[in-house]
Amino acid sequence: MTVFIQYLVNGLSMGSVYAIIALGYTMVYGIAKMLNFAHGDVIMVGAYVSFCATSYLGLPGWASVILSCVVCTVLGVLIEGLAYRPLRQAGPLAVLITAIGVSYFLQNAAQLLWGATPKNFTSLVAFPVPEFLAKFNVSAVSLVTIVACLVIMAGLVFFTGKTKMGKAMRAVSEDKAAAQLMGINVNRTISMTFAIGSALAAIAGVLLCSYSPVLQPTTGAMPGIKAFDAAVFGGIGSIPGAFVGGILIGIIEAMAQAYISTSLANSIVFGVLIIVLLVKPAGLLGKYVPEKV
Amino acid sequence: MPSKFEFNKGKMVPYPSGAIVPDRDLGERPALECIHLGIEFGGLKAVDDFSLTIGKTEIAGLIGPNGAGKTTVFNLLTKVYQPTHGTILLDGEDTSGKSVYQVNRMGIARTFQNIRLFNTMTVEDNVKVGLHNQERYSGFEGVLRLPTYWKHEKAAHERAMELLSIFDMEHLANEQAGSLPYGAQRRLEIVRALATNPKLLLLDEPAAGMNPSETAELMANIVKIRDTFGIAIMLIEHDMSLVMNICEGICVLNFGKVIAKGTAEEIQNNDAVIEAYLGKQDKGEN
Repeated sequence: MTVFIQYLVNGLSMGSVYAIIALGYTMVYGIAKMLNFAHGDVIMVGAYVSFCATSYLGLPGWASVILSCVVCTVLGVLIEGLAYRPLRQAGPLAVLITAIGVSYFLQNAAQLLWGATPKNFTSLVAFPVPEFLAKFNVSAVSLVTIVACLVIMAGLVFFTGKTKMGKAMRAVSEDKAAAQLMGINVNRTISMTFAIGSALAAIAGVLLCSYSPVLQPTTGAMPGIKAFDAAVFGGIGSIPGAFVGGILIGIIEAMAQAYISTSLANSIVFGVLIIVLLVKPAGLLGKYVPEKV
Repeated sequence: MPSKFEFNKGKMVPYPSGAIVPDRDLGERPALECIHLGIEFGGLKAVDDFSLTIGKTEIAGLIGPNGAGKTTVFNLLTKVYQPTHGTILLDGEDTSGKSVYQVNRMGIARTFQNIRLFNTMTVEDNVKVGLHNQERYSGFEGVLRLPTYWKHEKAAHERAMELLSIFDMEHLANEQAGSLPYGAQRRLEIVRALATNPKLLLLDEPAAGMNPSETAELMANIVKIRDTFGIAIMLIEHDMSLVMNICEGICVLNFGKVIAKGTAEEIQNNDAVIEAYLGKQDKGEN
């Protein structure tokens, strides 16, 4: 039983990281209607910035997280402005290919800047865990990750639901042209979405590398794809969907690793996605939108 | 030294006598002035030499056969299309070079021929999207729920309810916009447009799909809105009873060109208008 709970906690905390990344994917998809495949690589940049801030500049952990958020926010807004905005009127395929291009660009730029040798990321989260939790092998990172994920998700639900910017975002998501005619600056709203998504990516990057300390230019790629998987799983465009999807993917992965096979874990995660999509094409919490005839 | 900007303001363009009710006192600045407005799509002149003046608090009608370019005129006014010729002055200010949302902030709001509400949002939130530019607080204040946030959200809520009360729709505030009956959706579109605090309200076929009693109610409401808000209203409509009854000035378009301007009576007796709608009379062919 104790072992099972350990796996569950592992799954939950890894799932929380996926959920934070998936929230970024789903926000951008929901509002800009595009898949930002470079999102995973923004995570990697966030982790590198935090790494450099602590190792080279000697900043404390919390300061490095803030710095990393700021850098990623700027990066996200830049990517949107330089790469995606000129393609606003272009077909979805052009944007998709551009996103993949941006992804490779970031990976190679990181390789040029920081080299291909993996860096050893020291966990930024360290505090003694209460006895009853330590028994189940719950680490400080796990706790922080789960709490961070819940706070972020609640914050986003509030932000999109109750603030005027959130309403503007939902309006843009539903009908860009109509939103514009109501006086909403669509470009600014989309930039803001990228800013929020990228700040989340920075947090996810730091948490991810606090788990698995190997930091290299391709660090963000696989978690990025899995988080995308999670977003689709939960219903892309839906904030609670991304959260549920992320947690479920994390747990499925942890259980598959524990009870089936470590090497098959990824196949199982994506296999489950395929089955879910066959049964419920819009994802778990997604809304099926019938094509208008 | 006269700057380039001054030139662009359209002051150099000679004013045509475009007032659709010529003897009306328009005051110093009419709500809307279109001067030789036109747009070409690859050589096709969708709207050509469109000149029109609408006074403050005037209700103007834009009619014409299908495909005459009426909605294109609305799209030009709201900058969905950038005009290739001419100038648009809104309350005396030149709108050239402005984008869609900037023109809305300057004071043009519109509804759509096919209803385009934010269907998954509530009725109140739809109105609040229209109030977007009047709520002033930063995202930071919003997330932390600082007093500014509460103050502005409360004001926005009250304003939204007040606007909904024009059509007695307060009780629908928490319904999803997409689930409203057709007539209510049309009314909500007007409320949402009014929420942006326009000087000129453009209504694209507001009576489409309504029965005669609903149309009569709508007519009364359009006049009520004009009187309450003191704004100019321009509407595209195929329902002649509505146009002839409430429009103080009517402009008729055919093949992108203005073929007649004047009061309801003048339009009804205008040969060019009768020809556009019914075809040439003399030989009995269409």
